[in-house]
This record gives sequence, structure tokens and C-alpha cells, in this order.
Amino acid sequence: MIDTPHSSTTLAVLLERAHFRVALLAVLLAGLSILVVGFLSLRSYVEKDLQFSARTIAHAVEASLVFGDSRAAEGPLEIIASSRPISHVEVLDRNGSPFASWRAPAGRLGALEDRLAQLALPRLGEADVHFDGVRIGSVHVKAAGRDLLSFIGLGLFSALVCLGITAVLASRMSRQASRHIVAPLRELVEAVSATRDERAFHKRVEVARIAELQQLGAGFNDLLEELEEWQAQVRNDYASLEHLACHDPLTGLPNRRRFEDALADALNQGIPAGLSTAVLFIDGDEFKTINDELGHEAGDEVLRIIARRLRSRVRATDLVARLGGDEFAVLMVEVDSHVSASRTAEELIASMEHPINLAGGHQVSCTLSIGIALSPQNAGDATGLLRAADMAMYRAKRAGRSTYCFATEPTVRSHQTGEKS
Amino acid sequence: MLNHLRQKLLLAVLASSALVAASESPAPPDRAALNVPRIVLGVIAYSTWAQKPDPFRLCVIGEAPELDMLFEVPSMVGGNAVAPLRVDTHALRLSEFCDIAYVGRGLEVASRRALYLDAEGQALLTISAADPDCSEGSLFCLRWSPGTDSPALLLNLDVITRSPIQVNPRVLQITRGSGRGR
Repeated sequence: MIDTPHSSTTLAVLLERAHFRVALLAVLLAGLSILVVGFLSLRSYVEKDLQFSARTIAHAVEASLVFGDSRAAEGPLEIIASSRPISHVEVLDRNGSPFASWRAPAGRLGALEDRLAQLALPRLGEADVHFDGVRIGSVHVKAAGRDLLSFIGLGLFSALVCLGITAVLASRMSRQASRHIVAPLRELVEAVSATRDERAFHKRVEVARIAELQQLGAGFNDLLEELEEWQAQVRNDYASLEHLACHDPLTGLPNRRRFEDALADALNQGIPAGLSTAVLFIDGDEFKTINDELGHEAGDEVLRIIARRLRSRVRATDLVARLGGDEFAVLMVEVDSHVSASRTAEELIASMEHPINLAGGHQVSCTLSIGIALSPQNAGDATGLLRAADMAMYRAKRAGRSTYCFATEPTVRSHQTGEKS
Repeated sequence: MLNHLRQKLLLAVLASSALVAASESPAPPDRAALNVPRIVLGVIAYSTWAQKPDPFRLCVIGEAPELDMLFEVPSMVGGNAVAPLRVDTHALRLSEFCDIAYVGRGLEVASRRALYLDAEGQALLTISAADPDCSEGSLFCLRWSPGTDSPALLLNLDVITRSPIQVNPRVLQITRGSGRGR
């Protein structure tokens, strides 16, 4: 997981915020328009109702005005006014002097209601009182803010409830959406960091459901594939370079450097008690002649065949190397005695008994001289052991063809190869 | 003078009819003095005769100083003038020369009853100021309560139902309030 810097936000948070804002805006706009429309229609309703109330009251107080009995007007005034959203009724006589009035008992939010009614419902309900076609007074009705206030209160409350529901729904939906968007992205991020940290090019991103992310994931997978191929290529190149550096290109055998490294490793690891590490230094007897008489190609062919034969006669744990020219060496670890080493040397000499058939129809015979040195008996270090084996090989060569010789021990054993020419 | 005239006019209009007033009365009218005339004119305004009298002949029987203003100021109800007239207690067949009979104080119960009996079936609007229970036989009664300068208007539904004079039920709004004995 890549660490998120403090200044940046995650996609999920961004999505949630965006969702929330859109939902909030929608609810606010809808709520506001409903409130405005509701307020306007409520106002028109209240104004009509006020007019109606004024006419009703005018009708009811007609007799009271005729008789000049203002106390008789109070009854119908209260009965009508108290059942309607009215805050104040005033009945004036023909000259505009107050005749009777009624005032609603102050509500819990009296002052606020009055202020609201004054602001929102400035118009009075008005009606004239007629008797026998003569105007004998007038009625003025002022609206109460009670209904308006409860409407606004209810509107705000439901808007708040809607907001709450919206917030919950928006966050849930955005969480759902971000699961679809963020999860594949997060997987991508994890794959990227895994690739970066562990060089895990084999990992693949799961394909998402969203088209863009699908493309991104597929592109990333392609990239990973290319990287993987590239890495494999590099590894192969590296391996072949290493092989080239440590092997002889002609015979495919390890070269001198590799042999010396292996020998040093074997000596450094320590030799178990009672066992030895043996180096067999091998030199072809007739090689120079072959090279001179039949040419380098034939010489190379002979070297390749010698390498093949040597390799086929040693144990799996033994290392056969070409040291250069017609010099070969065998490294044998954990050899129990001289006998095993000499048996191997005999095997190697025997492998050359058959003549070598060359491409041009020539048949050549090649014999080997072998010097054997053992560690710890002859030397403790790689250079010493190799030199001892080399010297033993020269003694063997002096003793004749197809012979092998142990280092320091002057014993020379000759092995008849049964020369065939 | 003009001011005075206006106040008369006010009385008339408040009495609901195009009540014309032209008074020579030197004293400024007492507000309380208008109360009873107004009620009487109101009752007239809400009553309907088979044939609308012109003028309304208002006969006042007994002592009724509360109606003095009506004698001083000419008044009209629904375009027709009101003609007040003081009549003798013993005059019978009131309905022949009266459309409205206002019964004041100072009369025997028996003579009042006789008057109402005589008016039965006749187009005579009877208003009594001497019958606080409104049970003697008049269509309307006035009842004074202590502490108030304006009387309450009562009505006798039995008599009203039998009378050829039709009374607008709106008067009930006033009388019902009075019936509570305010």
C-alpha cells in the first residue's frame, strides 16, 4: 500500500463528499421551492379565508350595528373568529368609530406570530355591513400567523428529516459506488507497489466492471506481462553471459576460472575426516600432432569428443573442466581413498581406447596422461593442489602414454591402453 | 347647530334606516337618551308588515321618557317616516290607528293584558317597557338591569308566531344576548 500524504484525499472521500453535496443541494432546492410554493398558496388561501371571514362577521354583526348593541356583537364575533386563523377583528360603525372588537388570546409564540403575520400577510380582510342597501359599518380582520408558523415549522422539520434521510442514503450509495470504483483502483495500487517492492511481475490485476478501469487494469496487465518477459529475457541473458564467463565455448565444459572457484569452494567448505578432495590433471598426448597435421577444425572436434568422453566416465558430483589447449581437469569431492581416484583415472584413460572418427574420414587415436593430487595429503590450497597435480601429470607424461601418476608419491603406474592406430 | 344635526343623523343611521333628523333641540343629546329610540327603530326595521306603513305610526302609552328624543327629532325607517303619538291609556282598538304600540310604565297589568288581547291577530307591533319577563303578551319587551344604561331586548316567541307581523330572525341575535340577563 502506498502511503497517502496528508494533503491528498482518497477517491472514496471525494466521491462521498460529491454525492453528499449533490444530494444536499437537491433537497435544499426541492425543499425551498416547495416551501415557496406552499407559502404562496397558503397566503392566497389565508387571504381568501380572511375575506370570507370578514363577510361572515359582517353578516353576523349586522343586527348589532342596527341596534347599536356592541355587546351583542361580541358573541357572534368570538364564535366566528375563534374558529378561524384570525388574530384581530375590528367592527367600525358608519363613521369609522370602533364599535366592537375581538382579539385572539396570545399564543405561545404570540409576538413572533404577530410579526410573521404582519410580514407575510399584510392584507386585511375587509367587508362592509349593509342594511336596507345602506352601509352601516365595516369589518376589518387581521390574520393570525399561527397556521403560517406551523406550516413553516413543519416545512423546516420535514426538510431536516429529508436532509437526514438523504445524508444516510447518499453516504450509503457513495460507499457502494466507491466499492465499485475504489476497490479495483486499490487493487491496482497494491499491484503496482508489489511490483515495485517485490518485483512480483507475475501478479495480475482483476478486471473491474467499469470500462475505464477495465482498460486501465488490462493495460497494466499488459505492461506487467511485458515487464515479466523483459525480466525473463534479462535473466536469460544474464545466465548465458555467466555461462559464457565460466565455460569453455568449444566444449561447453566449465573453464579454468570456474574450476578454480569450485576447487576453492570445495577446499573452503572443509573436507570430512577420512575423505579427500582429488584433482585429476589431464593432458592429451597426441593433440599437437593432430592439430598440425589435420588442422584446427579437426583439433577442435577431437577436443569436443575428449570432453564428451571424460564427462561420461565421472560421477555426477565430479566436475570436468577444460583448463586450456588440450589440458583438462576433474575435481572429485569426498573421495574415500587413492583407489577411487586411480579407478577414475583408469576409466578416463580407458575411454580413449577407441579411436576418434573425424568428418573427413580420418581416424585418430588420442591418449591421455593424468596427474592426481589429493588434499589434504598433497596440498591444502587450490593453487598448490593444482600445481601438484600438474607436476604429477608431467611425471606421468614422462613415464609414457596412457599413464597416470600421483603427486609426491613417486609411484608410477603405467596402464596399457592397447594402442590401436 | 350643525354638529347637533349630525349627531341626530348618526342616531338615525345607527338605527339602520335612512333616518332623517332635523332638530331644534337646544340641549346636546345625551348618549343614553338615544339608546331606547335606537332599539325601537331597530325593531321596526327588522319587522315586516303585510303592507308597509307610511308613515310608521308609533303610539306611546303610559310614561316613557326614554322615547322623548323620538318626539324631538323626526326620524325615518327604510325610507318611511316615523310618526310618534302619545295616546290615552284607555284608548281601545289601537291597531286601527297605530302600527307600533310602545307600552310604558304606570299602567295596570289588566289594562296592558287587555291591550295585548285586543291586538291579537292585528298588525300591531307591541313593545313593552313594563314586563321584564316578557310574558304578558307583547311581541317585544325591554328589561333594564341595574348598572346599565341600555335595556336588553326580549321577545315573546309565541306571540310573534301568531302575529301577522313578520320579524326578521336576525333580531334573535340581539334578543338572545339579552335573554342571558346581561
